[in-house]
Amino acid sequence: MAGLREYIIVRLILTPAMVLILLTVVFLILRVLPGDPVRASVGPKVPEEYVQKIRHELGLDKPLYQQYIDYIVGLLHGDFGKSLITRRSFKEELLSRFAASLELALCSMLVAIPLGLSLGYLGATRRGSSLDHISRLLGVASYSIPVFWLGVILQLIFGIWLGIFPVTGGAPPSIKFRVPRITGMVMLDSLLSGDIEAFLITVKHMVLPSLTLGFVISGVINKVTRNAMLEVLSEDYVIAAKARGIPDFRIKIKYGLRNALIPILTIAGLQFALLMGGAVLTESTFSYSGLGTYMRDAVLSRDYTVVQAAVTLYAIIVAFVNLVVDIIYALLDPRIRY
Amino acid sequence: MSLLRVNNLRVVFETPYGQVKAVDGVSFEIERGEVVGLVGESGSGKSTLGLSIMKLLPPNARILSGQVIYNGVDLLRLKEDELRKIRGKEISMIFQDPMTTLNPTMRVGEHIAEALMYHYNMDKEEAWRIAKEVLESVGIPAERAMDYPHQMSGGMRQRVMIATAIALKPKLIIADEPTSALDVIVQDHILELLKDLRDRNKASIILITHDLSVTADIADRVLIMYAGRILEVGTVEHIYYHPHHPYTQGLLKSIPKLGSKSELYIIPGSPPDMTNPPSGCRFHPRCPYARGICMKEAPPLVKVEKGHLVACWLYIER
Repeated sequence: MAGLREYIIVRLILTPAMVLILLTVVFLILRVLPGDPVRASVGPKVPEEYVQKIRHELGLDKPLYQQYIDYIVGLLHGDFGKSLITRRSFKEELLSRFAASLELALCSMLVAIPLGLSLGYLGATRRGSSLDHISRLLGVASYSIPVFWLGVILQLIFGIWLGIFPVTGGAPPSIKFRVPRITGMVMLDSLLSGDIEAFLITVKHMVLPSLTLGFVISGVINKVTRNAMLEVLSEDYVIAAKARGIPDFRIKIKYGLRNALIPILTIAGLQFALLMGGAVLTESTFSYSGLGTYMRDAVLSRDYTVVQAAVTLYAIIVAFVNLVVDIIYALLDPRIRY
Repeated sequence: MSLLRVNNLRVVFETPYGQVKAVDGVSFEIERGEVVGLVGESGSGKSTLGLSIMKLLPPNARILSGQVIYNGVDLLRLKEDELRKIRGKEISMIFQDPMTTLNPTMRVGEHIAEALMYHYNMDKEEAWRIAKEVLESVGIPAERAMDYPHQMSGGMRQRVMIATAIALKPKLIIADEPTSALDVIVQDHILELLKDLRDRNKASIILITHDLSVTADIADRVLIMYAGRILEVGTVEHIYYHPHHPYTQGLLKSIPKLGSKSELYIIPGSPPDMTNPPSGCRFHPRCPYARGICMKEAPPLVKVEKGHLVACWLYIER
């Protein structure tokens, strides 16, 4: 399997290059947007000298190439720059929001993948049965129901009527401060530090937002799984396997699902990347302080450095997810090599 | 008792354009160790016939009537898990396109090994050992057993397919156009392999092909199929040197010959629309000898000499 090692090495080299391109695009887009960000953030009534002072303080009066170098060098040192609004470093806040979003995204995928995969699988292997109809109905429902509506309904049922789960998402502040920061993901950190009580409380708070997002995402995975399975199961090699007397279950898994995994993985990777930045509605519904709401607030207050930093992080996570997906591709399909 | 007897088999496909009568009342038998060529053009129902013997038809196909008696048992009446014990072990199949009939994410050796494991409860090591032996017997070095299908050429993959089909020493092999997707040199190797198989394993082979010449040096008997029916049955000699049915005669005339200056013969007309096949003899719209009766009634298969049957009104006294 020499090909596999080369493939992974090439992917590993290409990823930083891709991230650099993404960072450059992010940088440029924010510079070419019309309007002066500093002026926009302080309002029209502030005197020009003051605006100039802030611009100088933030390095925005330097030539573009110099700003670009500062930005990249800063990032390499883990420096995201200063907020236009508070004029202070926001790294701490950004990273904790990022960790919270990552945690929510992971938990949602933990719901979405098993749910979507099994529903799609059952739908495809029992095509036309009532199970298939239910699976398809759930699929359509999941991507036509607005995520905030589903969130509110789940809050109403499980939070208010049944009172099983809290209506707010994410670890409560008391827990956040209690658990030592290792990865920034409270659930993981509490487990790593052996604080089972904190872990259970955090899990309880994660259930409803994860279910909401997970259900929404599961529909896409369900649909892709069903279609990919149906396509693969009509391949010649499936008939050939039947002709060899291979048991049905083995055919469905080893011949069917195994070959259907590539498109499923693609969509799951994309959905995961989307979740990282696009969970604004869910985060708002559950007052979950993640990257999505953070970015929304930054956009609304025109805090361009924060937007830039958040988009940068987002770009890096997308590139990273891509890398992981590409490597899993190669592990799944021996044809994917250089 | 013959190894396999197909009685009055009728298979239709339900399509949006209507019911396609793919196989329409076909009967034949095959003896132990016999090689039967099943010849017909695309759409004549020959592949459907092959698949119905194994009951591997697609979901929109329906078997209307008939029996497929293998060793005294009607396969069409067996349950799925009883059939599974027969598939691969008693009757196996070789398909046309070796590029699509191997699982792309599975090592070629595993295609053989897994069948051995499921049919004989063999352990993995033993199964792989035999798989490698079988691969070697079809001319593939044992170390290539760990290859994935995409690492092999079309000819090699077809050898692998053949290896999967013979690994369990089945008594009947249905080879559906096993050489059509391959180039001529490789075709020849594959045919040699099939002949070798017949001699070594004493297996019966149904060789489905659209190419009469492929059957010439391997088949004991040839069945000519047209529009879902068998028009002529005979030994290779009967079919090649004394073809009776006008369709068979046309087919033979349309084989190009080296050095011949005359224009190649073409059977006039085109194959019938099987949602609405011609009445009477299916071939009558294209037949130079068609008479009134040919349009009204389908001719039965009648014996013209020992082992030579023809379904044509020309040979039936009225």
